[in-house]
Amino acid sequence: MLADFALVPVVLLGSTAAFILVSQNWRASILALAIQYLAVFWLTGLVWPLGLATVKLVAGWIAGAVLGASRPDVEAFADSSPSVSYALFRLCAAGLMLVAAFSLQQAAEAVLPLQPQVLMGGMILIGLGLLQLGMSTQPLRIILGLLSVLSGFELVYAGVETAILIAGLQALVTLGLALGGAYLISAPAMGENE
Amino acid sequence: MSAPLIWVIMPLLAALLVWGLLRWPRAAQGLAVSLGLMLTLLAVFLPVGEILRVGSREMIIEPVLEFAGRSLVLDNAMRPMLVLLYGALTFWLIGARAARAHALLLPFGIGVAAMLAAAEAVQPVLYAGLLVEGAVLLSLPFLAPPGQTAGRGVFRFLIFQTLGMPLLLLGGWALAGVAANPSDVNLIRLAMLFLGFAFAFWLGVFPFYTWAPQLAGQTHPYAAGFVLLILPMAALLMLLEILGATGWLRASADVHDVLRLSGGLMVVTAGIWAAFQRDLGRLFGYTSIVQTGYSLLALSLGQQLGNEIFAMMFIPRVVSLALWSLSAAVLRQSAPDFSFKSLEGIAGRYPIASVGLAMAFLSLGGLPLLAEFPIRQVLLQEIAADHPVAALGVLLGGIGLLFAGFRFLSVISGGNVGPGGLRWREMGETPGQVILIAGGMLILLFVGLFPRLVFPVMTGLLRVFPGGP
Repeated sequence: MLADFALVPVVLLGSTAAFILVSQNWRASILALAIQYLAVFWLTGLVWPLGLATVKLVAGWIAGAVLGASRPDVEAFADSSPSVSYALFRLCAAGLMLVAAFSLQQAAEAVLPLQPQVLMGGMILIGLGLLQLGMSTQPLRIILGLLSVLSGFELVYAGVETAILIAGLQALVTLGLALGGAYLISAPAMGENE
Repeated sequence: MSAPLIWVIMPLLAALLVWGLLRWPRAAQGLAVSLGLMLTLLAVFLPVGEILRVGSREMIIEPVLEFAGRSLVLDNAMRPMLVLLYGALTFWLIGARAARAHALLLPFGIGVAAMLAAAEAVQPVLYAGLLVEGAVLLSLPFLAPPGQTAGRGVFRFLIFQTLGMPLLLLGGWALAGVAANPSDVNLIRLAMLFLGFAFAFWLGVFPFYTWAPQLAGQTHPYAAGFVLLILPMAALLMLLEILGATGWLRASADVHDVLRLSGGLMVVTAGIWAAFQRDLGRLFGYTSIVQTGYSLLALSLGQQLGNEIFAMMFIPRVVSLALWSLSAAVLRQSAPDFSFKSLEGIAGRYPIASVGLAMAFLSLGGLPLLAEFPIRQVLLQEIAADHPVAALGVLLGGIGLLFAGFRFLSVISGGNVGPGGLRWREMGETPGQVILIAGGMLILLFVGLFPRLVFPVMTGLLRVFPGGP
């Protein structure tokens, strides 16, 4: 059933990652992250048992909740002077990255024995996540970028290895990264005794 | 009782206890230092896997701890690595209060060391990436303590170190594939690619080291120094472990060429950029990158001597970086920032810290009679024997570092060196700071003057790795 519509999560991954790249609203971006993890779960479900794939969904959603609970201020996410032209520039960059992912897929398939949709989803997330990391200086954007890149790698890794312990540890890293990010976002407002 | 329980689980639990004691800073530091010292001494004296007689009772410290089908292995051969790791931690914890580092360095520093010990011990090695990431995340609270805004350097550090983790996982998968099917050229290429990039991110290989000067320039020097020492040190030991355990990788000429090119580029570029820095923190970042470059160059020699040089570099590096961090933290007490302008003539107010800093810097630069010189000279000779052009580049980087050191000397002395040049005022250092800095300087001098007494101790580190002597 999941396999019949395997292109849907790939499209979801591309659109949510591109949305996070241009969005100026942190709440909407965290919502997009949650949808992104749903798509990651969908694709992981193609190669892993559904129960094991759920770990990624739960870990991702908790990570989003942790980041949301840190209540980032405007500086932690939005650009200092947002403009339509800058958003367009980011969209174009995201488009180029998507084109690169599509054009590299055949070459990547030759060396990594993965399902095409899983590989494509992973490459899109890694590419757009790296783009986010390269273009952002705001703490929340950086953490969202890192989570996207890690999700992409996890998708690729899920295609080659099914180990319960690895899945658990990767979920722990996702949560740790969200906790670390939430701490870095909140640290300036914390008192010495907190 | 098992060795991983002593050197991994117990420190993690003790870190929680130290955290609980932070309201009483002296007690927290006392406990942290005692713990670090105890773990170091246990690593020196406690044999693993052998029968111990305590009074009438006999006991064995088991080397393996099984967890969810995977193992943490700390046998007798790993003890030199534990001595180095926990020795470095203890060295740092002793000076934490004198350096006025944030108290969170105590519990989280212990946590970082325990995670790195676990990363060195875990089998199969691909799990190490996840544990190193744990160490990176645990270092965030003392790099950006509560009440302070995390600078870009902290985020870049987080980005680059995190990117290494999934690459090591994929590299580990490819390595396992090559072990099962040694003739699969595709998997061999993938293993080299993934592992190469994983270590490039972790070690800050050119051009991935921009985070190091930024981190050192924006965070407390003592916290930055700890991270810039202990994480690359653990990654280097892991690299040696992987090279030692993987015969085809160790035998590959390409791997040695890549190591030499990476190390050489790190020394040359960071050394030259160091010469033009006007900020002590950034200078520290570049200096630490140069040190990692020298270690990669030693590994690139691919012989027993190269491995020995690699191991012998660690003691002087730990002492020099600790002395640098402590001295820089003392100078930072009165300077608004680390720009050379703010530090001009500071030797008049902080003479001991200034001399300590200069000595640590010149030692790291490889000045004769100081700790790094003997081993640096041997390394240069060995590289020059087979690759004279590479040796010339490395020499250039070293000169850049020394140039930066002498330039820094002129800054802190205000350009007035000699009798009547500096106006000596009341010393700004506390007695505790003076004792620790003077101790560090004496160790650097001792190692430089009597290298034959100190360096052979470190070659025991190579027993950890099957490819070692």
